[in-house]
Amino acid sequence: MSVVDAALVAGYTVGDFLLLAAAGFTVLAIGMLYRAVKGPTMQDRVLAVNVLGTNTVVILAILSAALSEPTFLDIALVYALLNFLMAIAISKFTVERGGVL
Amino acid sequence: MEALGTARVALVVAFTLLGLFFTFVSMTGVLRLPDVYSRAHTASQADTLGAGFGLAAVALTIGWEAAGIKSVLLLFFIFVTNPTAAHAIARAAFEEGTVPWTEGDERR
Amino acid sequence: MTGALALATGSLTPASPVVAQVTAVEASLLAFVVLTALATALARDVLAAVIVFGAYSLGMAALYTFYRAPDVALTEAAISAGVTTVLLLLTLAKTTRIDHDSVFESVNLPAASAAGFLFAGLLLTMGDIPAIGSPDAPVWSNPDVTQWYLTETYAQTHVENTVMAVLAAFRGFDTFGEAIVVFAGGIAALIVLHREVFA
Repeated sequence: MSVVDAALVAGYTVGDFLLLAAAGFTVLAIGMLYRAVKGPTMQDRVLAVNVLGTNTVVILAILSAALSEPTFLDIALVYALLNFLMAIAISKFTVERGGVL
Repeated sequence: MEALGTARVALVVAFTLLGLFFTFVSMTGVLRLPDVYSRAHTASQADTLGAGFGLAAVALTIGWEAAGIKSVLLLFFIFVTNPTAAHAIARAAFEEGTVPWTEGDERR
Repeated sequence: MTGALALATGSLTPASPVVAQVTAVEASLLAFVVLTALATALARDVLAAVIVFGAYSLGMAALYTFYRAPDVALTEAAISAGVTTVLLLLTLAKTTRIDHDSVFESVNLPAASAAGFLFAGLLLTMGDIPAIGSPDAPVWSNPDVTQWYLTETYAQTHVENTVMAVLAAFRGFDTFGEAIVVFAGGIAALIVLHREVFA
């Protein structure tokens, strides 16, 4: 029996708890969205999206654990790479216009 | 064996809650702190810790499998890249001429 | 009470009758996606819209993952967050960006309400779509069709992958039409740019 199916409280399993935690992380992501929209500087937005991306990687990983689909971790891995790339690309872009990549 | 399983479940729950807590701290920081440099500081520290705890919970849930090891690698990757990205962003802000916030300034 | 609890955690098994309910993860992800989409549409600054659109694709990828479509999620991650963002940034780098005072675009109220009514009208058709995992969905209620494809595909097309066979053999003309659209788009871009080749 895997940990996901282990009973926690009142008939709910660890998998259910992890799904709820993923929902909690998403709610926090919605909070961070405020900074991504408001700015005021471009770096504020990039920073907010970077934090959001890290949050999404955690959400994806938790979903993969909760749904017992280990292959979903690959998506989280791809996202972690892309998130880092995006932060670096945009912060380079705002410094030297035209000098992207 | 049973006690070990219970301990593992307890650790998963504790790590997830800690991850949620530190991500909440990082969200509060990103929303409430006055300028981009101070926000970069929460983004690199509190958020890395929150993501670390979350991924540690995932690794504990999956256990000794290829996927579990992958999530540990993901944890280390986040530990390395998250502060680097925050540093790059703060540097970009500095090179663009953003003046750091000091006490008494208007919040931005 | 039980309903509220089921709403909060949902069910993990596709065969369960409560799958049609919206779970907490789904609800929060959907809210995130809708908010990012709205912010992308309304942002005054183009670069801000590009950045928020990146956040939108994050939410979509998580949503696809939750619906157990990892291939679509991976494509969303690679295309939407990676390629699209880089392409749009390159385009922005080659053009000028205007600084704006306001964060959001002003909304034309009559146009917005017209769009809202259209959306509400389209929403009415949602009732006819079977719920996710519903036994009434065509794929389950007509098992003969699915079985026919699975058993006959190789004999008819000599393609081993059934999905590929459906895309490129059974629906060959359809895919051909899609390819024509893509090529027409490329030719139109060349004509607009007064160029003979992409270089």
